[in-house]
Amino acid sequence: MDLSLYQTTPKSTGIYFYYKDENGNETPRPLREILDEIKVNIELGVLEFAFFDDEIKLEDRSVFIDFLNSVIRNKIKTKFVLLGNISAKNIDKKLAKAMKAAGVRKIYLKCNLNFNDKGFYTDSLEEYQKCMHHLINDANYKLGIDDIAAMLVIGMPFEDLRMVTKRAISLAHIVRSVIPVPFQYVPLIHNVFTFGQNPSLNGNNPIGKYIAKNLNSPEKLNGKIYPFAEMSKYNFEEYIELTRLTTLLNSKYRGATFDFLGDSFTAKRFRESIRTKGWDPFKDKNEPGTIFINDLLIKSEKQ
Amino acid sequence: MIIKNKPEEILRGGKKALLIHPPIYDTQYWAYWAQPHGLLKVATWLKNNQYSNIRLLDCLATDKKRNVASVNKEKKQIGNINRIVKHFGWSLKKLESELVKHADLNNNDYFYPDEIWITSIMTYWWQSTQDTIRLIEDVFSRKGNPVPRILVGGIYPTLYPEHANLYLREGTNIKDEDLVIVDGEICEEAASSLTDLSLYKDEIYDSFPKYSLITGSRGCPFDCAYCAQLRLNQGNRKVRDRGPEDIANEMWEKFQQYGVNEFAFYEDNLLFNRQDFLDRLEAIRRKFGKKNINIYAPEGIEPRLVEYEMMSLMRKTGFKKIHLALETTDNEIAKNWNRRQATIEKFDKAIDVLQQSGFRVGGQDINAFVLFGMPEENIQAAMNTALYASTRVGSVVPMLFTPVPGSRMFEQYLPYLRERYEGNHESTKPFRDLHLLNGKLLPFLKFNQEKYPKLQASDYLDVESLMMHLNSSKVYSKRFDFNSNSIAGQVFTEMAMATP
Repeated sequence: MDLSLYQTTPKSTGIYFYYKDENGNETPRPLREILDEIKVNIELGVLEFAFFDDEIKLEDRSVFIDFLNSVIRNKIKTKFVLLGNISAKNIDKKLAKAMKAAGVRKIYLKCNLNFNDKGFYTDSLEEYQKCMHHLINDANYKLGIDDIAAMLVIGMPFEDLRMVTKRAISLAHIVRSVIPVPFQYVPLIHNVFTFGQNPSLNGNNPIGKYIAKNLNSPEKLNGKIYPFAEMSKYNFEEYIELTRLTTLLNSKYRGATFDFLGDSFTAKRFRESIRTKGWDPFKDKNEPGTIFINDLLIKSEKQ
Repeated sequence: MIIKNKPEEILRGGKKALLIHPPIYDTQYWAYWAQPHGLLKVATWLKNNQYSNIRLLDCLATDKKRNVASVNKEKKQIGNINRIVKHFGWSLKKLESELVKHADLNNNDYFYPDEIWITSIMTYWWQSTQDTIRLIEDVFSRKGNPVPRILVGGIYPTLYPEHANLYLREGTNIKDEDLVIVDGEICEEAASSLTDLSLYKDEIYDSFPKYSLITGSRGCPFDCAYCAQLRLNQGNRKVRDRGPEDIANEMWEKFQQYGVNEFAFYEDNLLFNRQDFLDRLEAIRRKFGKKNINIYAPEGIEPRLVEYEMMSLMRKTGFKKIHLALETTDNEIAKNWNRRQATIEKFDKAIDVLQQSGFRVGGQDINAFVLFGMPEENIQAAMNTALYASTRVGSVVPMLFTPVPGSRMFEQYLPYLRERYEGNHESTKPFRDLHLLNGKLLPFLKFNQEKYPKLQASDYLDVESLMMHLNSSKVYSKRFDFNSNSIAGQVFTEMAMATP
């Protein structure tokens, strides 16, 4: 990318770790080439680099560590961000330490999906826990301050919103920040939906039928309006309330999120209030059969 | 010296006055309604008493975005946390540079003041008032000229005049009669004067305020244990109203003359004189017609007095937000705070009425104050109150308790505070270190650790933080409601209940 075309150099830019070889396979670029590109852009005034690749793959983890180590060895002072292109299961102790030392400031963990299973999400919560252990305990990343987040795709056809909500809350507890990503239908993706349906987009395919009937123009497929909500038997407001919940789980006060399922004194008092319904000053009065004497008095006064 | 109810001893023939609103030292400061209201009224009163030169040095004047700059001043270790006390407002250097101009007898552009009036608001901000007085003495005595007579008024000297009289002169050589502590209102004429906003037409200010504080009434018949209004009103429980037309005229004048279109009523019990307040709203509506103004009552209104006709009229007149004093959902606790008049049933009913009147729950239309950090407090009750406010109202305003001189609670816990901070509970001198009683510095942390041995300072910040988190989940102008029937609400509640 030629950033010199800008009148003022952008403070951040993208960079690719991979290139596509002549067979169309993604292969890590020569490290020297990546480093040179970074150096040129730093000289122009770039302060931060975001990896544009879909994913830093597990099989290339050692090459990526080599890249990070060369950044450290070459004393390149800059920041890197990985916005949803690294999976929790790919981060081990060695990679976590190298990322921290090389200046990787933001790590948004990829949400891996398997459309052949109604569970959709492939990465287990244990994998997130292990990943966080490496990032926090081994590499000294700070928890709950926006350095690390888990991305979570929501709004898929046939999804179970209770399960999605549970996962959002659990990820927020483990990672301390969860970013909801509305599922974006793209043409031909129906080919990978295999559960309970014919993979081809024809009259027997429920997604195909639904799209043909209800979402027959591209703007109706915008993920942000949750086009498959009704198909999954939910209304739009349910998704908005889930968005509100994730906003709550991600909200920061004095730079940190709040862990509602955590061990802190306050989190325990919070759960106690929910458990006992202590927050409801009328909980005893609202039980069936209770006579509201005050109301009766008010009514009789009015009469 | 302390002067109370003797305006003739205050006015001693001076004609030139410098008015100072000092900077403050605190961990946080919300500058949105930072106008030195009393001092601006004094300015009008002085002008009416033939003062020829008056200049305002408002060290807390806000910028265009209504913010005040701050720098870190000191770090305070409170239990397991550090709190940064910041200096908000002009630096003392900047204030000094302005004072120097007035202290130079050869500088014809600036007058040499006969008097310097200082307003001092919160009792726990007293130290910056002391620093301001020291600075004045230093600057004006440099060339051997007389130091102008200094008069200190405002909430702090009214609530604790003995403290101000003793400690504000610490480290100075100012004679007793040259440092006057004004206890209470100077006189009715001064108290009912209008604020003089023209003083902001001074090159030193970045912007002219587009808002104004209005005091339409004074007094409250109640004596809540944590509140010092009764002392502030010199024991007078009667709610005295200025009169609807007078208030509407002041607002109109500020609107016409300065383009002010935001008004905040700062009153002890805004709704208490129902008919007076309804008349005030009608008078404002008559005056302003269809002009767009915003009116606030950031000190909060009494939920007991919320009723449909009044709330509907408030909304029509320009109230976009309502602040309600919830404090606690526990009626027994409220009774212990001498707040028998405020029950949760009345609060809950007030929310229904507000909704019927067009104010929405779940956003920021309605805001509920929740008090915590009290001595002997039941922290679970504070948490319950915060969650009730979140689900029922939508916006929780956390208020960390400060024991204020003049309040029942200050007197009740004074022996403890003396022992804790002075090592001597029998002292008869005014309690000196009021700045340590700032609620944000958790003055009752140790006290409450007796009841909750595992309680830490960070837990208070966590409670405050939780309240702020609950406020900040707004999407499409509504917040997440854990008590809703939505799937998200249900699952969140189930998981919270299932986690020990």
